[in-house]
Amino acid sequence: METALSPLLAGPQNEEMRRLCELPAEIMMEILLRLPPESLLRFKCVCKSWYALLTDPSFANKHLHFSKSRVSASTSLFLTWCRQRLGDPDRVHFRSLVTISDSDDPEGIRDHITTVIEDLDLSTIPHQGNLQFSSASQCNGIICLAPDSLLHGETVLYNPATREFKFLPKTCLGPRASQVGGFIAVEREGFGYDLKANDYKLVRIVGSLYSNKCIAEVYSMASHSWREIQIDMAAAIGLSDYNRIGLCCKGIFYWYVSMPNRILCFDMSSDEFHSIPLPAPHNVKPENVCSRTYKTLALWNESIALLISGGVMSIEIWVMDDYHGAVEASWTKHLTISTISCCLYHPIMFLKKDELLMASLADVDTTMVSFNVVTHKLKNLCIHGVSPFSCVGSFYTKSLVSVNGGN
Amino acid sequence: MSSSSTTTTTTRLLMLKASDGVTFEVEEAVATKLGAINNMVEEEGSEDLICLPNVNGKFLGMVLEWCKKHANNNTNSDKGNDEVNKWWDKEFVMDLDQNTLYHLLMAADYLSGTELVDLLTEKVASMIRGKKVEEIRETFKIKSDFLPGQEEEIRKKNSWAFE
Repeated sequence: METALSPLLAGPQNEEMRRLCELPAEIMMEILLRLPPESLLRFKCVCKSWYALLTDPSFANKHLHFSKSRVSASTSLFLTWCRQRLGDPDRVHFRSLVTISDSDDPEGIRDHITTVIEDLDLSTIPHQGNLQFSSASQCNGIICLAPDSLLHGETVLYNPATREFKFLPKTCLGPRASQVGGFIAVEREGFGYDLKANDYKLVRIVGSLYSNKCIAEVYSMASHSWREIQIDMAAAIGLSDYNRIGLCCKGIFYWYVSMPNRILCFDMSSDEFHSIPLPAPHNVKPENVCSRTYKTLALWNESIALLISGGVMSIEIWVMDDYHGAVEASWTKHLTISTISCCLYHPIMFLKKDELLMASLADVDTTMVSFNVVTHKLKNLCIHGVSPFSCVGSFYTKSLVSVNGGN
Repeated sequence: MSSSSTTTTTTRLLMLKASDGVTFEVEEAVATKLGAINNMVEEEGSEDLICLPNVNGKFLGMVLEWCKKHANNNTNSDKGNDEVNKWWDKEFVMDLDQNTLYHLLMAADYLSGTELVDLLTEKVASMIRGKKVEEIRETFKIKSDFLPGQEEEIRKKNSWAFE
């Protein structure tokens, strides 16, 4: 019996000389998706049809998803951290793009990982005077730089791969702040992507120095404006001893709050805040000072993980089941790491399923390590002088995503 | 390269006929690396001769050569196979000229050889990654169709990318 695969409309292929420019548009796009943003910015001026393709927001999205899903020999991170020398009162803030590559050590024999650090260059953002930022968070290649004051300083969205930037409008809470009196400090914030709305959002919670109240607002990149959102959590915040940057997972931001001990979350699509209790053994209040532990939220296996460290020579890793706005979230203890070396480090984020990025707690020559939670093997990242509790990291992908928010 | 004697009893052979009449006898396990062939075998089952009017013999031969290497390497379940495949892929695309790349890409796409399309698009991407605009136009034989001044305008916006 005989069968035939139906011919293409283009007709049969023969051996005649062809050039790559004759490739169909879909294949040409597959090729361009594999190029880095700097090449693509240049190639916009090859011809009109390339310009149209490369400036189309849907191409930027495809490029982002392709880059994210691509298996790469190295891992790129956006890390913010501080360096403080012993006896030196000044902390130096760093915002770095870090490339970690263990491809030259497939057997995993070495005790260090090749690391390339590139400081974020903000000199390409034109501004009169000095731009001062106290925090930086990142999503899909866009970095959100923000001040710690609600009323002073600039908030900027910046894509270092395209050097595109945008200054955010002033807060919408200005009048409210003066009404209630002294709402000044940004206590918690989060920058992330709302899949349902196909929009980037920045949420911030502002606390008062004089009362136990807080107010909140959210910025939408698509509308380029702020709007106030309800937050009914008197006395919930007011503590700035923990990381103010929220961790975003599936459209929800999570922050750890120490008084009372719990997790605050914000759902970008419903605009609602909720509070989630910690895993039962840690849900005690107030926490005994002697057994004081550190809590770090991290993404693990596309879920929220809570890492509890600094207690009794161990790190506990709890994983939260997918949270859908219910008041009760359920936690599963994934692992307890009990080794002497784990209490010498503070967890930052998971690099892989079993690899945890940590900062050393030592006073001298502090460094970052990648710690395997199963084998307990430590690998040095050769980033020195890190203040252990200052470090926040996220996976970084060079992207074409525009800060001007066209959908 | 001869296949191992233990599998020959169960391996079915397929005949693939190219647009120019050239036929290839291939093991089913090799040909089904191509999604389109795999679908045909699964759906229609019994056919032993498959006509491929869109691919000529020269390029079908190359596509099947690639499939054979990958099928062989994957049967010896060994971790080193990934490395062997990578090395072989590199050799396979090393000296391909534009015409061959064009025809192979069209053939691989037509036959839904996803992995091979990946390999070839990656190869073309590596050829143009660091190039200047003029070099791209030269490579792809594209003529600029911008109005006077338009191109300069675009260049000005991202002048750093042209440095």
